Amino acid sequence: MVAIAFRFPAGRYHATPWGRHVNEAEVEWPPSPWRILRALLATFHRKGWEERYPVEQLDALIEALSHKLPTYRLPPAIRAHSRHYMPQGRLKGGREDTSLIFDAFARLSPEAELIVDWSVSLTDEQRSLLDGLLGDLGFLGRAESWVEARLLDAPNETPNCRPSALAVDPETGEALEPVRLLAPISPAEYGPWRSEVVTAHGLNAQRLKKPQQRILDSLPETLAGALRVDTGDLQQAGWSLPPGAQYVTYQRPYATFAPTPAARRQRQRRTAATTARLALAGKPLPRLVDAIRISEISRLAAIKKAEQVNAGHIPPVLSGHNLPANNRHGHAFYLPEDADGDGHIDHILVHAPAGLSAEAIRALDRITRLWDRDGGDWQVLFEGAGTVAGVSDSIYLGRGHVWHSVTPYLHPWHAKKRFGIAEQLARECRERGLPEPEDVSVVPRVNVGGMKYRPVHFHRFRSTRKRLPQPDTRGHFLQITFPSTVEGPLALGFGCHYGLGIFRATEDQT
Amino acid sequence: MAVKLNALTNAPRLLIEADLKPIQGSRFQPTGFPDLGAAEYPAPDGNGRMLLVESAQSMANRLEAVCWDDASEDWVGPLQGLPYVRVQNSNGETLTTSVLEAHRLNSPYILEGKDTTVLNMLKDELAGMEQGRVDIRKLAETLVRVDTNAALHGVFLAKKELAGGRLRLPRALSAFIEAEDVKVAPSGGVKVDTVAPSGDTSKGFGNVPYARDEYVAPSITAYFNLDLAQIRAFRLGEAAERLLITLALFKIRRFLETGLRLRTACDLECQELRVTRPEGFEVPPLTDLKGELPGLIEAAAGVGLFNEPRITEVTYRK
Repeated sequence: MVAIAFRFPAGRYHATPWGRHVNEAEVEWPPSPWRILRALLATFHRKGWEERYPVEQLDALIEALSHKLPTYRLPPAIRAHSRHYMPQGRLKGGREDTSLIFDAFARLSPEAELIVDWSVSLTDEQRSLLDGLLGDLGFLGRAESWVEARLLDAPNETPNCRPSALAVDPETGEALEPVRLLAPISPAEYGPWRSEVVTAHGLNAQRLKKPQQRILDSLPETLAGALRVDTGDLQQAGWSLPPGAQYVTYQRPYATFAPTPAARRQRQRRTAATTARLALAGKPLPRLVDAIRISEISRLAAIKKAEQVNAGHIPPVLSGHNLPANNRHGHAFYLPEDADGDGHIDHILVHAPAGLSAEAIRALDRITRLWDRDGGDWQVLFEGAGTVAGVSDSIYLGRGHVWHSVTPYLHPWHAKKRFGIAEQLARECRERGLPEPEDVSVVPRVNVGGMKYRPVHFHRFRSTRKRLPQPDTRGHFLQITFPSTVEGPLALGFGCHYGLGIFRATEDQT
Repeated sequence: MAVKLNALTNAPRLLIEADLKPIQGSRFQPTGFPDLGAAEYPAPDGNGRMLLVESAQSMANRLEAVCWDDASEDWVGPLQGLPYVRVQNSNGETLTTSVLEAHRLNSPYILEGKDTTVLNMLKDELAGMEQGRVDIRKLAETLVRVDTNAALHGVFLAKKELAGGRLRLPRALSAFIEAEDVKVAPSGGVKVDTVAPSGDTSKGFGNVPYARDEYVAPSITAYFNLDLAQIRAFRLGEAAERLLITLALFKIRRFLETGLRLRTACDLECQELRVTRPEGFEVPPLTDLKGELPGLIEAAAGVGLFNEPRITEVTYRK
């Protein structure tokens, strides 16, 4: 068990895979076994270890690590690159020639550790040599890839990048990304392979031509020797793959280079949207007395759009259908609104106490036009959605003790003795979780666009083929006083989801 | 006060971080080219975007520039006497030096001209490396002798005549500057020509609208890395090691005190300097380093590490 942890103190790792041009901006990630072993060899020869250990010891270490393919534990990283013009060391037109260079690198956290693990055993001497070499290793890959490496007693992380031909994790079923890494062949295979090549190319002849001599020079006797050959010599000899190396397919996690989502900054808890507001445009705008009709066609438009954007699925919150039995008015109220007080509807407030789902909001957002059978045709603009506090422009979203009718209130149950308007209102408020009114008084007329209207001036019937029981066909305007503050919007009684029985908070005038 | 380097004796590397901030206002202009833009990339933890303010290559040039006095065309005071290569034209005027060139000794003005003084010298010094592994100690020794500064910043002698173009010395001192969680601060304006607003802009007349992108960032950090194991592995003796380490520290200190005007619109100042490895080491103040360096340079010359004369002259002719 030999596990090495690499850290990149600069947070960057630059290395170009074998056979790829630097300007392809490809990063060899993870660092191939071949690269790691060559880095150890270079450290040995370049940092004065020759005087402390015999070279044979190093060769034995390298061969021990070539016996097995390591596994990796990759930390989160992302791929990035910078570009610059690099001087070429030759003159062109009297100036130094430059060439555009792509400098690709993997960017990772300076604390993150890449763990490479070989399941081989080393002698104590080899271990201490490896430990020393890792301490002196200054960079891995390009010189900008500063590295700090150390030997681990035991890796405590499970590997997430292994040699395998299967691009799927057999345990989790997760898709993996294959990546080709250069690794040494086993030392036992190297000797026979070398003799084969020497014989096949006639390199054992007495006299060799120059190209043959180059090939022979790049074919040392041992695998450790092969790892020492300079890249320039390999290219000159024409090797497409360094002698003693093989490509091994490793499987790394699919999102190796995806930024890990940052911990969310503490934001205020988002509460679900309950309210959306639509603006109407057109001449003439519909009259407030037709509130119930406008409300009905708004609902139909919302259902139609929901079908289109949600592939046929209609959110129950918009239609009010197929709701659980205990749903007490949690679905959408379509409340036509005369915000400027001219007697014409200029907005529609859609309010669902149970919350508007994203698909419901998407459907409302798509409504661009309302029309009716009498030739009315209006353009619709989605003003926005949010909480009651977030859509505070609406006249229905006030707070207060005293509430006045905007559209007629029709009591929902049949009136009986001791079950008149006041009692029915009290029951409704109880069932909705509102405080019971202290006082309910009937107001004969309300002001609509500067005119005094009685309830009969308003349209008070649903345009449905279903025979709906309608205990009250006349309606009343009311002033309700609550014992405590009540928040809008408030719509009660028959047809309260269709624009009847809308109330508006006013100043307490009593 | 003598500079104490004992804490570095067994450390493989010295890592230093410096927190920087714009000296005025909050915006700064990163490195970039008009046709490439700035080097922006997402942060690995998904928190915003990172920005490369200064690349390793550019920082190497800056760490050399703070050692050079343009007025006197020589090293700054404390570094007088360090070897370098001076390139002059046929009239004897200084064209450039190995300290100012991007590729140091590998500059075409030094190796590609008709005057092959340095090329021949390097061939003699580095003979016998055409085959086999490059002897990095020999290369380092030559660099200290001819162009001491290049022993810290590395060099790549990409000439066939020199060991088949395989002579590479990696940077012992490298650095870069990065900003975190950056946001673009776009601005722009119009160069106004009140006389002929629609004049020929290619000749400098006319109104010219322009756009510029600057950046703001909550933190800008300069990172420095000195590979002590690499310097020790040169095996050039204590005088050379002390000189190279002190020279590197001098460069870092001087850069942070005088070299942070990276561009007209990128003038930074250092707020804090931290040594992250090894623990217990403190970067000596600039005055101590200045006081120490002349003695170290003479000590190195005393043990025969430098060329005499110290400045190698090359005349550049095409």
